[in-house]
Amino acid sequence: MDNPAKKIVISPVTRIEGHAKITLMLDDGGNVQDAQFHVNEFRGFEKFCEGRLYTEMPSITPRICGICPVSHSVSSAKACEMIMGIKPTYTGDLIRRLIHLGQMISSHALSFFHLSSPDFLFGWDSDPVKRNIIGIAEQYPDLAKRGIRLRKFGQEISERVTGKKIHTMGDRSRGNVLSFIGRKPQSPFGMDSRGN
Amino acid sequence: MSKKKIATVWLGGCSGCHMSLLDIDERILDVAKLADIVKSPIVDGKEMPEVDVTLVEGSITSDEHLHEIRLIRERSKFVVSFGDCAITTNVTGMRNYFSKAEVLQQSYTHAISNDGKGQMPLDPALLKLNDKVIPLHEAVNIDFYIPGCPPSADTIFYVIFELLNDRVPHLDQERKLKYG
Repeated sequence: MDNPAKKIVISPVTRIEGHAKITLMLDDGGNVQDAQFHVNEFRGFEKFCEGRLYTEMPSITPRICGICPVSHSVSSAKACEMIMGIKPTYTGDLIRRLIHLGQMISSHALSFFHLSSPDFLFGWDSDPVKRNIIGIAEQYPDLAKRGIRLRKFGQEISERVTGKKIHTMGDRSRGNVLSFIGRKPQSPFGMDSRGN
Repeated sequence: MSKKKIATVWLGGCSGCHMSLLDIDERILDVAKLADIVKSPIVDGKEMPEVDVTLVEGSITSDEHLHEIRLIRERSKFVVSFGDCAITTNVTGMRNYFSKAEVLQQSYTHAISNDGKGQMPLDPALLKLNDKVIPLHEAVNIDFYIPGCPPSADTIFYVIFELLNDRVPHLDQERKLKYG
């Protein structure tokens, strides 16, 4: 729509794990004429990944997203394996699954407890200043702590296996080279269900 | 003394620094005791208010980012360049080896995954990409730097805690000061 009478811009959108903006265009009567959802983040991985060494890809691609870095690291390692016509070792594959599941736990905890639970518990019309995880911690401290600890449990799996919580290291085609090397022989499951 | 205000902003980056900030886990409640988090991807404030400290993640990649960092500078007592993309442009700056046109064409039209059906985004409501990605200190004065990709949660907590207690944070070997 070329000349909306009024434009409502919501930026950033805070309920999702990503960069987004919503533009609502209203006519003179205040009715919505058009609604646009913009993903306004561009970095150009499609270009600058060209011609890089395949060993670099599992380190470059996680930087696409700090919330789901494991997915990008693992997929790039798998893509390079397909190019070379090889398969990961059995152990390497299990390690990838382990850290990927860890990421899934922390990402779900983030989405549910940190981003969405304030809407469920306080409602959409509540005070926006309190409508966040800190507000939840004030009113429902036990629930907030459990959410924070669940996310921590997922992040710790990543850290205990690869050495870092975010932008895991060591994934390579054929498996994970850094895994467990030089680390304390400690099981990623040496935590209780609350991440302690 | 009134409660301090802090903001955290995400420009051209992956949000990994913000995730590392969340990795301070329960200590976020200690931060909340000292300051109100008034603008951040995890809270609902949309406007950039006057604040004591702003942590800015990511590089400047577009006209909107440039506008935003200038506004942040104007309204923050201290601006912290938060993570490697903010400080060196890091992976976000890897597109600087190419022209903007080349990078956009590859992503929107030439990439094989587009099946030959891709179109360049032209909607006027979209942000305008800058020719080159720049680090924050090329646009505005920066007071503190926290390197790392991402910086560790302990380092982030230390810097925030010191600033909120009116002390100057010192990053050294002991604090695992490192890039990457």
